Amino acid sequence: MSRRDQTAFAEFALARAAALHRAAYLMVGDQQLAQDLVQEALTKTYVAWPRLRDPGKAEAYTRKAITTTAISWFRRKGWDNERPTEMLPERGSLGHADAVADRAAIWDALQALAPRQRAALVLRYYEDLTEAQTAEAMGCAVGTVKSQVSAGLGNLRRRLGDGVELVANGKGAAR
Amino acid sequence: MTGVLKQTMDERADRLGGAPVDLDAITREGDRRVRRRRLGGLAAGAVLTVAVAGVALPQVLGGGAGHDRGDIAVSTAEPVTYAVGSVIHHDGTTTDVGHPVFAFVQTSAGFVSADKDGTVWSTTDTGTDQVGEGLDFDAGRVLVADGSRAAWLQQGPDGGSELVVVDQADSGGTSSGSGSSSGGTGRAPGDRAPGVDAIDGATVYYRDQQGLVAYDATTGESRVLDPSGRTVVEDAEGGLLLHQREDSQRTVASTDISAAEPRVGTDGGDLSPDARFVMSENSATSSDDFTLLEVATGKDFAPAEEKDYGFFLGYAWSGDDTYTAFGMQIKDGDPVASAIDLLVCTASSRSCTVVERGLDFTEMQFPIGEHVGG
Repeated sequence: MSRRDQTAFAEFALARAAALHRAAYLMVGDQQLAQDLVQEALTKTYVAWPRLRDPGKAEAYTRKAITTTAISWFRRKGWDNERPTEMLPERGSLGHADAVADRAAIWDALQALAPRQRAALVLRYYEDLTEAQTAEAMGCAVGTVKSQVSAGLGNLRRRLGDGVELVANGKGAAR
Repeated sequence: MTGVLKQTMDERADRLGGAPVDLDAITREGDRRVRRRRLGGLAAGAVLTVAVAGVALPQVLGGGAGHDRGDIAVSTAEPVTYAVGSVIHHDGTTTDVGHPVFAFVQTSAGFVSADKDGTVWSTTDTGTDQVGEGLDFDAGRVLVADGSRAAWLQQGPDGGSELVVVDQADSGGTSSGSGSSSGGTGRAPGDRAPGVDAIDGATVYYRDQQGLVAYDATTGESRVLDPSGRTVVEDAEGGLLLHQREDSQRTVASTDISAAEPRVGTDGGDLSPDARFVMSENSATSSDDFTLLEVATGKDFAPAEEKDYGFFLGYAWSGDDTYTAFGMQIKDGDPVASAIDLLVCTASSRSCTVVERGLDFTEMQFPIGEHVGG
């Protein structure tokens, strides 16, 4: 890679690192692991950089690298989906106690999902990607995205009860 | 209105602090991986059926200040192979294989191609037939070819990786045989992904959970060459193995896979069919540095025309002494991906002839067994 390309890659990596770290954290539920994931995904992007042709593709490539690497790591290392979730310090007021309790429960339930279901929900509802974009990031068919999202939301509802308004009306397989 | 799921994720994400990125570590590790890649060497012995003698009507170009560009001849013949969309261009003719070509190799009897979904197709004079499915493009190189055979690893019915070898000269070009099924995840030792390395005649070199394996397509017998899985066969021709251990950073050409000498001056590479030459995208010391050497002597045989391009790469041998290459033109001092020249070159004379000029690299796939592009 030429020095000029290295500069362009460095600009991309530094500009996108925080956003990538946030998405990675939501997928793996662990800050350090998320950091490792971003590091690995950016390394893959660096290797592919000269062949990405369009710098605009770098974002999608890195997102796919994070998603597929996260799923792969979980599969290879056989991590327990029920592992304890990391506790982060609360920052500011989150509203009334019920809301805090609800969201803590939702977070725990999200972390208990199978990796592909969790990745699908993060991409669809946090990254706000379309089903087609989510399929691209996960390296699967749109139909698989639909089924993973549906299964993920179904599992969350089973843990949380039907009273929780998980997703906005009109988006996703259900409420 | 957003649902509580998104609100929860937004809150959790917003609580995170900074995201330190170790750019030095990324570039150091990335450069190491790049050195291990072999865009030019991925043909793994694929021998093109091009007729270099068919190059005709050479013209002398102007321009090219500061270089010997004026010596580059241009031919109107097309003795090179590449794919655009579903059409494979070869030997001045075209073949529509019926699906967008995501990666492909050429054999002496036709083509084996993969679409984006990982389905594998065999194309011969009798038509195009599906011969496999379940390729994992994350593995990089997914198809290898030599003579009339092509091979690949695909996901087996048990979720493990399965070797498939197709001899396109046999039974109308659609016969196939399974080499092995690894079972389980099929993950190679050392945490390496399973992958097919090279094919030399009837011997296929691949890696799975057993380590590095040599499979004989004629007898169906397999031999584990390196149970550690740390050795990669970069290419093999006539029994000569071009190999590298992941912890040594050196490429060795020997008939003994365990040998640490003699070392060659490339990082990976693609042997000529007679194993006299090796060419690689990378030299032993730097990436993106096209290198063509005589294996026995280490003598440099890179062509003079290489210097005329922002990026030059020999990507497939077309004979013992001839290969095809592309060069990325320079505009305003930078390589231009939308304008590449295709060349046929002679190794011993260190010369090339342009046979196609100004093609759009972003639309093309090459017979190297790996998808080129993002």
